[in-house]
Amino acid sequence: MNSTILSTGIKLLVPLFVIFSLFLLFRGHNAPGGGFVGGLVFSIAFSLYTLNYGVQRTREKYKIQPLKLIAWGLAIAVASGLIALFAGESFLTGLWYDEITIPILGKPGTPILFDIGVYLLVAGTILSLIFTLWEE
Amino acid sequence: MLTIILIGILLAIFAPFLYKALKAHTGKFLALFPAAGFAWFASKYNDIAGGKIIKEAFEWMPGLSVGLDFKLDGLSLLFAFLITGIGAIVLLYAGTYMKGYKKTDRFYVALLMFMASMLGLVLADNIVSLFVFWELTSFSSYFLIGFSHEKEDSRNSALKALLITAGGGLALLAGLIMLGIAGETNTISELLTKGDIIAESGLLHAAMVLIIIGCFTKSAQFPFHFWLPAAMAAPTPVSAYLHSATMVKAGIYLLARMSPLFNGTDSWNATLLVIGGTTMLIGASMAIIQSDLKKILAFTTVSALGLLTMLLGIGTELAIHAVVVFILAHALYKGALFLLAGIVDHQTGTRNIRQLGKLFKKMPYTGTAVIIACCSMAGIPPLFGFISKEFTYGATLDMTVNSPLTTSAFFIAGVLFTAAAGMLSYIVFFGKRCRLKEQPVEAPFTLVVGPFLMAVLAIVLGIGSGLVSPLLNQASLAVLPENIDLKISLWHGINTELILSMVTLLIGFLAFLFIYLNPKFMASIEVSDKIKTSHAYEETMTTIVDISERVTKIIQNGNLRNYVFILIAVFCLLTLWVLRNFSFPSINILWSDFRIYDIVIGLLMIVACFYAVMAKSRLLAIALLGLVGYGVAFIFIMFGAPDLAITQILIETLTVVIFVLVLWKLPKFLIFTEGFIKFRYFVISLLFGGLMTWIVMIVTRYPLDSHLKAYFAENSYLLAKGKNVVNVILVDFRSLDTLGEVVVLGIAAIGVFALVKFNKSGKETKI
Repeated sequence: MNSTILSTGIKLLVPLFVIFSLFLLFRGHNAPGGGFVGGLVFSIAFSLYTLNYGVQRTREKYKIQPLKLIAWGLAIAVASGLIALFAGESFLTGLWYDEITIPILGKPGTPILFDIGVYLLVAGTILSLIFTLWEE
Repeated sequence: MLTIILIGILLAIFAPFLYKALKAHTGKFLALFPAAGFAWFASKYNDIAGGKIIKEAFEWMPGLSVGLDFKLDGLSLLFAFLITGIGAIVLLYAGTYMKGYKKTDRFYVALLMFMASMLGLVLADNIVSLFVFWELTSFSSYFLIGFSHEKEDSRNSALKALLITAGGGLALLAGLIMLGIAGETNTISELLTKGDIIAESGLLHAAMVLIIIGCFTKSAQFPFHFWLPAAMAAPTPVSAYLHSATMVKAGIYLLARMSPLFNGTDSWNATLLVIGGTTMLIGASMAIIQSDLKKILAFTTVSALGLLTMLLGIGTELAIHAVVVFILAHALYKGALFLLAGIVDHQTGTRNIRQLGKLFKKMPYTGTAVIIACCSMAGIPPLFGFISKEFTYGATLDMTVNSPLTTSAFFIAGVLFTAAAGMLSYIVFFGKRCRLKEQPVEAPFTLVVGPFLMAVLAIVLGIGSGLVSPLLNQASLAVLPENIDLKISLWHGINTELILSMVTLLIGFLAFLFIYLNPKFMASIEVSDKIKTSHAYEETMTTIVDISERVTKIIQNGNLRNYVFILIAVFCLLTLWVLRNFSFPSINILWSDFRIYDIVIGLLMIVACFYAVMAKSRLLAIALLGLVGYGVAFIFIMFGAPDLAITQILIETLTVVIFVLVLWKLPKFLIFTEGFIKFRYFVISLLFGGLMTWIVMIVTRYPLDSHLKAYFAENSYLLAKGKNVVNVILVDFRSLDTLGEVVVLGIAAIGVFALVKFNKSGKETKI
């Protein structure tokens, strides 16, 4: 599975993919996109890299640990729910900070945090699958 | 009170990090928590002793009337003192004792978790929060028993304890819920006053039986007692703390707590009396034929728990007094003895009394503490154990019926206790035979100080029993509200109790002499497997495993095609059953509704499907399936669902990538299926496709319920500040669903990892 075009191109494409995935993640609230899709794009970047260079090199170069991504994703998603709990609302109620507006993102709030958790978890899941299956 | 419990849980979470920083000093540092807790409870002593009850309530799930309600009365305070006091000693002790173990940080996590949940259990005033804490203690006990998880024995013991206690926990849950329904409240203190209403509802007896089962499993009553001796696989601090002083008394605590409701019901008193008595006798007689120090202690603990149950069954004023006094006495001497047995094990490397002897000169402090604790256990004046024995005799003699029977049962147990106390102290520290290769030395200060303190306390409380009598009085009032005042004193004058007590000591001493002088005879006693309930448990477990193995061989035969076939066939049959009343909708296609690209995409997908079925290589089949997937994505785009379309495209891409990764390693594509089997697949595929079409046609016949759609469209920007309705639903309106889904994703990934990576060679891999 060695294609010179893909193996050269993917080196340049990985950062682009990652930036695009972040873009999808943050615009998701107001336009097509979101954490799930963002996570998928993120994982596709490294999947393609893995297909060309193997798991070992992907890990060394990008220091990715899929199981940790899953753990952090879950932690962030749950934390976003707990914030509401501590504010006296029920678990996972969306809370917003109305004072400021950030470009693309809009107003900061716990749903964005939740989406970031989903993003990490989805990315971790797919990469964990790919890494495991590739190494075997 | 909630604060203390939460601090405990937080400390448990951060214990591994503390351990990294503090290393060997972790135990000492963490002991500050129960010590502080003890101080807080001590500051409430005067209030409680004066008859006040402190309540705290926090809303948890008010809609379900589930609250974090706490109540501190005499009984709770007695237990809270035991949990925090002994907890501090055990943590201090563990800091030194656990040095030889690996992964000690996990030990602290489980121990603190237990401490917090046990406190929650004795303070809880709501049946649901009580149950949650109850189960948490079972879980932490599971982790602690199985701490040396590389040993098969400890894994089995841990599982045994968990299955028994958690199984009983289920019965308890059912019983508590019944009470809650009948009494129309989940608050325990309110339930206890509603005895009449509950009795009228007819649920009283069922609830009682279930609660008794729950308590009996937790407190190791016959026939569930066998998990407790097996739990001795845990490190000694755990045995001292969980399996003698606190957790096993949780069942006793709940029985006592529920006493106001059930006491006086004949079946309650009879069950507790008979089972408690049986447990007491079995435990005591099993204790003296053991040779392992911890096993002796474990069986005497079983026996002591039986005694407590029996006393609760007697249920008179004197019996309840005896219960609270014995709870304190037992926790002090048995906790100390466990820790001291751990010291002996730690310093000599064995716990077998046939190898130990002449240790007193080498370990004088340990020896002194053991002798004091054993005196308390045997009930020698002026120790607290003596007072407790007097109370028990008082309770059995006072019974109106069956007094001779219970008195003699307790007499036998008392004799055996004395004998066991002799075995623990005399044989180990003064016995003539000593088969140790190396000469032991006295244990370090941090190990001895805790148990020594507990032993000394047994003397202090024995002489100055007035110190705790107000607390014990309040504790017994919580069990039996119209109780008379409890008066503790060492000397009651010469009465039947005192004479019986002395006779018990004498016969107990003779029994000990017999055991000491005939070691060979004692070693030869074996209990047949046939009469052990643990044997019945093992049999049941092997049978269950056998059956499940057989069933697995049938349904999980490894043939992937069969799995898919059965799944789809079952699905089709069930769907047909549901749809049997629906008529087949008429088909009226309006060709003018189709746009040209609809038709092109549709045709493309159909052709791709056809070739996917006919393909002679896997790669081709997958590429074609990918084409179908992209077609679906295109349809999504055309019908205005860009989010779905993006996801569909990405998923299709990844599916192809993952498939390629797997296919790469598979053997050459061969065609196994011929003739009939192929026909079978054909039929089922057709049936499935047809059914799905039918469903879609039925669904589209009905107008879409547009309430939700309108609600989401309207409120997505107003309430959730997002213009993308799909995303807002995912991360805000229905975020709990999303959370569940992503958790499943994560679990699936870990599952794949485990399946593929952990092969039998046992090599560790990192991801």
